[in-house]
Amino acid sequence: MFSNNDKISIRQLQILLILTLFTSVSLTLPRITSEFADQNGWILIIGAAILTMIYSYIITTLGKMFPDQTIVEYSQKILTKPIGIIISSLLIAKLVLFGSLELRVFGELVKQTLLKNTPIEFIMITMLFTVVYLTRKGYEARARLGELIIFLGLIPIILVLIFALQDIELDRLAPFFTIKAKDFIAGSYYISIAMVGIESLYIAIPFLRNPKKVTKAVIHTVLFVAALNLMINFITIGLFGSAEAAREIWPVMAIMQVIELPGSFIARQDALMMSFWILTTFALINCYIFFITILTSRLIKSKEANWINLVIIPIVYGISLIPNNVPHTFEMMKKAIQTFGFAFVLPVPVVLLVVAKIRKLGVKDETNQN
Amino acid sequence: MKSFNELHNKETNKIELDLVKNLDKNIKIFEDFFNNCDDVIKKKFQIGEINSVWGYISYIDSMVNRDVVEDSILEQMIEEIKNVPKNISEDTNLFEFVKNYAIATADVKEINTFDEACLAVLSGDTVLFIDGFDKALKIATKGWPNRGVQEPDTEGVVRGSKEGFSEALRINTVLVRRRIRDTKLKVRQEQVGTRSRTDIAIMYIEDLARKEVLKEIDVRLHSFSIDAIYESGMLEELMEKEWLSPFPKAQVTQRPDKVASALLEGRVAIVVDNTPFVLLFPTTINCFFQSSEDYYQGFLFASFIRVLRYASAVMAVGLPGLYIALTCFHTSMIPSELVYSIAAARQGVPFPTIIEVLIIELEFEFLREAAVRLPGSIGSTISIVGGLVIGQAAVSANLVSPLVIVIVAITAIASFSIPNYTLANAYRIIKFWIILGAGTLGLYGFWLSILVVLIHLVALKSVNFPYLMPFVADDVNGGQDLKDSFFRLPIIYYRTRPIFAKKSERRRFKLNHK
Amino acid sequence: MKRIKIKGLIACIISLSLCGCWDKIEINDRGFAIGIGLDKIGEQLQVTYTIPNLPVITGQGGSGEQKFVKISEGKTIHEANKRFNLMSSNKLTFDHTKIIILGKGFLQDEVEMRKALDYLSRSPDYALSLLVFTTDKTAQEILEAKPNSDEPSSMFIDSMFSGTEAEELNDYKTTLLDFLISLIDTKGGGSLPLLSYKDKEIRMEGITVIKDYIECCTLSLEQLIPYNWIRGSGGGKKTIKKEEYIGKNITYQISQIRRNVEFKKSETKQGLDINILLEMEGDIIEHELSKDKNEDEDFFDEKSIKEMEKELKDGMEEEVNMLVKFIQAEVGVDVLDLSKDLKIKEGKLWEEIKDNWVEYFASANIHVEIVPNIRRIGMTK
Repeated sequence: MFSNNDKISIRQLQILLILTLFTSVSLTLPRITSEFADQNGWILIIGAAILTMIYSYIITTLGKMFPDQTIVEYSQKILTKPIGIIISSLLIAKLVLFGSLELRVFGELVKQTLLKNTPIEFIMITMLFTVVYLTRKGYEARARLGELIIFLGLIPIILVLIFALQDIELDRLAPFFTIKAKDFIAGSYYISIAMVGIESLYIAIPFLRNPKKVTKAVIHTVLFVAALNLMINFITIGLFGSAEAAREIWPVMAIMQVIELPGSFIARQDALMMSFWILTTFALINCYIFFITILTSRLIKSKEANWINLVIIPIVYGISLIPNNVPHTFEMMKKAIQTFGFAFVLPVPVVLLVVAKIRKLGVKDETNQN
Repeated sequence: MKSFNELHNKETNKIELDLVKNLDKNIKIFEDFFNNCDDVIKKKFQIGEINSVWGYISYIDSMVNRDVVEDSILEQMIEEIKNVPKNISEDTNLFEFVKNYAIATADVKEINTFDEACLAVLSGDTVLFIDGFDKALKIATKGWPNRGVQEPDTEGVVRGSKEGFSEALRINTVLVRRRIRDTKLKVRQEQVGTRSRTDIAIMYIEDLARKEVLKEIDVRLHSFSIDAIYESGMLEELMEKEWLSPFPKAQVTQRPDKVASALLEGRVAIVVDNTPFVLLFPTTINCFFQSSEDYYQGFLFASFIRVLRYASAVMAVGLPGLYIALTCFHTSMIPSELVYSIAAARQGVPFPTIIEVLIIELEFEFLREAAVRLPGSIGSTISIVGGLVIGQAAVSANLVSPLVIVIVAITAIASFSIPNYTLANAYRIIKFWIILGAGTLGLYGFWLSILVVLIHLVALKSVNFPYLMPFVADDVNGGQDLKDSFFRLPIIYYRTRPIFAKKSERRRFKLNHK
Repeated sequence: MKRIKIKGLIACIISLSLCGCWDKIEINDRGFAIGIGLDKIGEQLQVTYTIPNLPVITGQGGSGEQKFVKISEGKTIHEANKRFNLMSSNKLTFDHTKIIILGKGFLQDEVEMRKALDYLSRSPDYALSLLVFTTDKTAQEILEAKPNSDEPSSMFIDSMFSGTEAEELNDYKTTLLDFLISLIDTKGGGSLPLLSYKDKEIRMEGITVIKDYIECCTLSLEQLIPYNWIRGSGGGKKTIKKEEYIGKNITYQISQIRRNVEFKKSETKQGLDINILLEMEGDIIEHELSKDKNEDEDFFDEKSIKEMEKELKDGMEEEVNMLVKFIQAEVGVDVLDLSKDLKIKEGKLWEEIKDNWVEYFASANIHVEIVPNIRRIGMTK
């Protein structure tokens, strides 16, 4: 049963999804919502959650029709082979770009708060090497490490935030429901595609032991992450007010300086928060690199995937050094999200699904969604 | 005839020669093999008075139980059989007669080759050649000096049996048999080592252990050939695939009750002759934190002690690294008064913090090693002297700051409370890696080095079982294994066996309804 | 080849880690600034640092003062910090800074205030939970003061204001975060506690009100009492205010205040009508023993309690309305936190008038009504 079959269970997939969806936005989320809708930003999160649930439903339905194939294979089957190769290459390019930018953002944060004099290249390289060490061990190892990280990293964050709930001042969240429809749609749309991680479902489904229940599990996960983000948003804007939250680059980090844990002797917790952040960001960057490796190895049909890791390191590292400064990095991320973010969450899977249904490809899903 | 060097097979060191019917020829070959071995006793004697036949007996002095040899074999053969019965006409009858009637023990076997004969003599049995037959008799007379059953010195308990394994294979298997009186407990013996021919016994319960595990162990046992193994540790190292890892992939114990409970969970025990340490396969990291005493004391207290053990494991690894990371890089996390104390205490210390920590850590490692080598009472005195006096003197001479001594002492004590010695050793090595990581990049480096260790652990397997089993991949067994990890729940909650046993044989506890 | 690579890698790793690279600073090489004072002397900004004398302050021997007070000048705080490193052997660290004191001269300069606050929020070194104070003379004086023999004044002030033993002062405590938020929300308005050093004691003397980044006026201790009533416990603060009203012959201790604010657009002029209702729960703790043999005034029946409540009501309302007029006329900044209630209750109204809130506040018709409830009268009649 424990032979090296590299299969993971649904619960492990849920844990990995929580880690990636949560980490990709939550540090900067209050700032983004304040920029769109001031103190009503929390409504945007609900909207983004609904959109994400729609995306995940489509992608998992598509994936369940081809339970043993990743997007590389079934896109080549549904549309013709060249178009399939183009789609897969575009997905790989998108993952490379997002992974490098995420690495750069993380490195900037570590440099600002923890290690002021260390060159950022060193910080990024050490993280990249550790990530590659994990990718060589396979999907099952990654899932197990995810279980450990969520226990070590995410649960303390949630506990600390629960203590912060008592300090919220309600007036900073008022007036309620004065949001304009235009802001609502634009904000929800942006946040839903900034929450990267849904694309991992393209590749994860063949690695599951029993892929039948995956849709319901993913929807539960999205709801959970949305609830967490709501809590963070309430706490940040409740403590700071939307003007100050829009001014801070990483508002969640600033909260940590202000929260007073009862009975705690640690005066400033922001370095403590960074510890948890390092763990969860590690899981996120590992997600990117791992999927790049798997997709590339399936695309060029090589058996041994480990040398791809070594090739990826300089590429990702090089791209992450491109932005000149912190604002430029965030601008590049914003532009990248707005240009490439949407393509793979909605249009591509819808097209693939429709064409597959028309051509009657794939396995029919006979079981109920229970 | 080949010289006896060529008779030994080059690979397996076994002698490839059969016995012949002529006793004198057998004797000559036999004595050639044991040329220059003056501790081998040989005697040629007559069986019977009237129709006598020559017999030849051989054993190694002090390796046999002399009473059995003299009362049960020689006295029977020489005294009691005065007459070989007259109706003996064929050769086989005499041999059968001797085998069935003349020897007063039950453990008698026929052997045909010189290899078995020499091995029997070398194991402490007695061989009996009879003229005119190409077979010999091997009589069990083992009785060498032995330490007996004593208290295990590395795994002491306050409450519980104080029997520990000994160096004799048979005593060890007997101690386990006494605790499991089930016919399904199988003891399979094999020999490992071409020159040492060490007996090992593979013990398992037939309907509980998984077939894949048994098969895997067999494969690994036969995947190498070595001169000699002296201890189960060598066997453990030869049997594992990932020898680069400092973490032990087999659990080693000296206590029979631990082996018995492990067997009933579906695991496999390997007992090796000449060592009191028994190997248990497969193992997960959780098993290292369970001590047999936990199950004999009340569950609240045992849970408290368990949690303490896990906490001390964490401290044994991370405390020095955390200290370095916080004081050198991020002082904001330490409360103000403590920061001022640390800074004041460090005035005038010549070394950077990381060198200080390394100096004191290495000093403690030297002390521990020295305390093991010295005999009993001197050892404990030296460790006290070293720990207290040298530490105090170093502080007064302003070589190190006192807080470092406190931190390193707490780390050392924490690593003593881990029940398994090999795992504690693994932690001692990992600690240095984390100190290096924390010294380079502060808290960031601390977490990265811990991540590297975790990645290593997560992919580690012990006979194809994931090493971190109850903490990851727990839903494979329905979440049962986690009940015995951090807390020891009352026995009523342990209704099913852990993941090691076969799927069908899980239930082990049931309350009787009144 | 492989062996050489492995050996090289191990050598690199060990040498890198032992030398500690770029960020490692030994803890005894750091100079911890416990408190900072900002003053404006002439054209320069003068920054005062309190640095503890470590062996003395931790009781590990040594002699002399418990603290060092160092002064450095520059055009900005950052420049002053750098100049400090020119005269010190330790690296200045703000990890454990607890308080910032703004001197009177500093408060008069709008540009300095804006520059300093931007620096404090932008730099990751300073915690947002710093306590901010003002003083009526220079900050340097307070930081050099020795109220309790040798203890550094910064630590003294910090422990005055934090912890549960600081019941009275906890309400006035302003962190850097609170101050920044109110400055940004109201474009330059806020309030800070005022400390002064007189007769070898540091005491809190009132509240400084900041308007348009400049100090505008102060509220004295007497005015603070009705001020606290109006701010009440309705604003979400969790401390219980034990306020008193000391009338001519009675002391009424208030344990709970509930504030209810109603806003209406006024019919008479272009403005707002604001009605504040304060419901109080409290006890009588002080009275006079009667002098007159015949009159026996006691509170043991409902009627006299009701009479007393009416007297309290009149007295308190008079004080409060005086204060409100003072604030509207002289101060002009909404220190009463009325905008918070407006945001919660009448969201749409707030959206309309939020850009001109200052004028609306100054011209509003504010009427305060107090309903005191006496619950207990102590152990005697």
